[in-house]
Amino acid sequence: MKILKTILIIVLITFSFKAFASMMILESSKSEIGLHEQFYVDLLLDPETVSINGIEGNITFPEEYLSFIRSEEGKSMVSLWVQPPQLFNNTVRFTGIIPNGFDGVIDPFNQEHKRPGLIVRFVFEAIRSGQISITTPPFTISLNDGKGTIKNIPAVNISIFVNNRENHVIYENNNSDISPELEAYIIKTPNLFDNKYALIFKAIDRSSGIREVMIKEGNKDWKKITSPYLLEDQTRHSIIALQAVNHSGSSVIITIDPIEYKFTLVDYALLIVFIVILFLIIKKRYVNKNKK
Amino acid sequence: MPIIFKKLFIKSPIVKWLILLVLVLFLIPQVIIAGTTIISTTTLEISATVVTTVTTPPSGGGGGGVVIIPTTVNFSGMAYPSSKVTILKDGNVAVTTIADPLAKFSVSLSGLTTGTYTFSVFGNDINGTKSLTFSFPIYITEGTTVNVSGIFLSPTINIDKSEVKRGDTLAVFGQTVPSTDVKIIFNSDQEIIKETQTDGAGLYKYDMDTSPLEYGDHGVKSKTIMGDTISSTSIELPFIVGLVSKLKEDDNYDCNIIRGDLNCDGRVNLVDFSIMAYWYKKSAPPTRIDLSGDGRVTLTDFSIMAFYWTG
Repeated sequence: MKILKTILIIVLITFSFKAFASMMILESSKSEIGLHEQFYVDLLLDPETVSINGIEGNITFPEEYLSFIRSEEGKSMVSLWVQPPQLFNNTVRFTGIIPNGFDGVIDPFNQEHKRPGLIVRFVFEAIRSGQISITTPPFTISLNDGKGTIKNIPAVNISIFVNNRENHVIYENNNSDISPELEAYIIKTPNLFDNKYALIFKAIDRSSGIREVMIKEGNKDWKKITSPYLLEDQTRHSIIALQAVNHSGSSVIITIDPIEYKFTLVDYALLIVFIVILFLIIKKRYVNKNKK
Repeated sequence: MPIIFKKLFIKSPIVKWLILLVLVLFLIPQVIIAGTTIISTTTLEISATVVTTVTTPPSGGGGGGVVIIPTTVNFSGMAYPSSKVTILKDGNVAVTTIADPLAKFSVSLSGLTTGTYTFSVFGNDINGTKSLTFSFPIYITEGTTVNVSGIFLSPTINIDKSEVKRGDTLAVFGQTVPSTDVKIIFNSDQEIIKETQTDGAGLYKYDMDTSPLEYGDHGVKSKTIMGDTISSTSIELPFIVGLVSKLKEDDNYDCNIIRGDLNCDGRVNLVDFSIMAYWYKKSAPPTRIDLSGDGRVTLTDFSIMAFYWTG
């Protein structure tokens, strides 16, 4: 009886893990690297046919051995970042969504097996030799079921060996000639910045990913911003220029025209008053001159 | 021998645990693998099959010049007669087309570079009701033509009452491919499946006698059967079986019809995402933004929005 119970418990536990089989994968460009050599670690999501539409997680690296260079999201399955990958001490955190869900990449040349999809590429530089490990806590993902069901995916880690031979190699993305794409709108809605004019944008770069987005409102200086952004000029009479720059230095600039000034009745009334006053002044001076 | 085996099996704890270990390591995973295979073949609803045609430059003869092969993705399938079909690329509207009177549609996208793209397809029926979105990420190689065929959009579904008096009829209606069978599934304590047929315009209607349904919350969804092909299942609409009947109010556009349409423009797109992102982890978000109703904006709310995304 005891054996049966134990078997039952083990079966239940095994089934409960098997029921949700999606997993994260960490893949490094190299398993052994030299000192001052740059390399990348890809974080991939293998949904195992489950449709997933959101992910929240972080990765931690040993800062005494590795220097974080940047994260690249250009080829990510995540198309909208609630919180783009951001460095906090030795941890990079991120939250993003995949509209309409992701259940594996279809490879037209091998349709039997869906591929895992890239979430973020992390670029590091080795600064000290030794055996190192890049780790993650469990990830939080959301199912594409219309209910926002939250599930956890087990933690992953990867080991890399840094040897003591100096190898000054800088990692560069191969597709550095691709320019970023930028889409922007100005909106005014009660649920955003108390119904003030705000700029929203989406910048995509299919090569290395977006490094920064900057704005220039009228004659003001360029300023780094994130979306949504509360416009400084709430009159909307300034030309707005928006620039997206990728990690390779390529950029795209778009401009948004100001709104045309529309004369109101008050404006017309003031104009008439001004013309009348001007007329009276001129008349008075002209009359005085003639009198003299 | 049997006595020794019996003694070993019952009395030796080591053997007991060894047997358990063998079970866990070898037998149980085999059962699970077998189970998984069955599940994947019976429940997986294949709504699109991807067929690839690789176009290569002609070899030999002539010489000189560079042959540029456009990268193209062709989409084809079934929607609703003369309905608008929208294709999204990475969440943005890439192209729209109109299905023919038999509900067939085909549309192409070109000028893509090598990379992974997430394409989503949805349709709007004669009344503007949106289908569920069918989404598939594909790895595209430059210079190839990929044909995504066999897309079969879920039927649209609507009901005439939000609450129905037990014993009264509940009308379930919508649109799909003309002259096909539609299965209407009532998710009650016991699942009840009814069948009806569509007319020449792809419209279907089924009057459900609610006598067999228990008092309380229920849901109804539908799917189309066209020969051997089955569409994906529609969205599930909730209704109540109670003591009175209440008509469903949807004559005018109500922002609550599409969850995630925060600025009430009939779409769920970057604007709505930006509004929600502004309230991310902030205290006391407006109830309209907090889709899950848990008092804060979290991944759950973004997930609901991502499900209803229209681009």
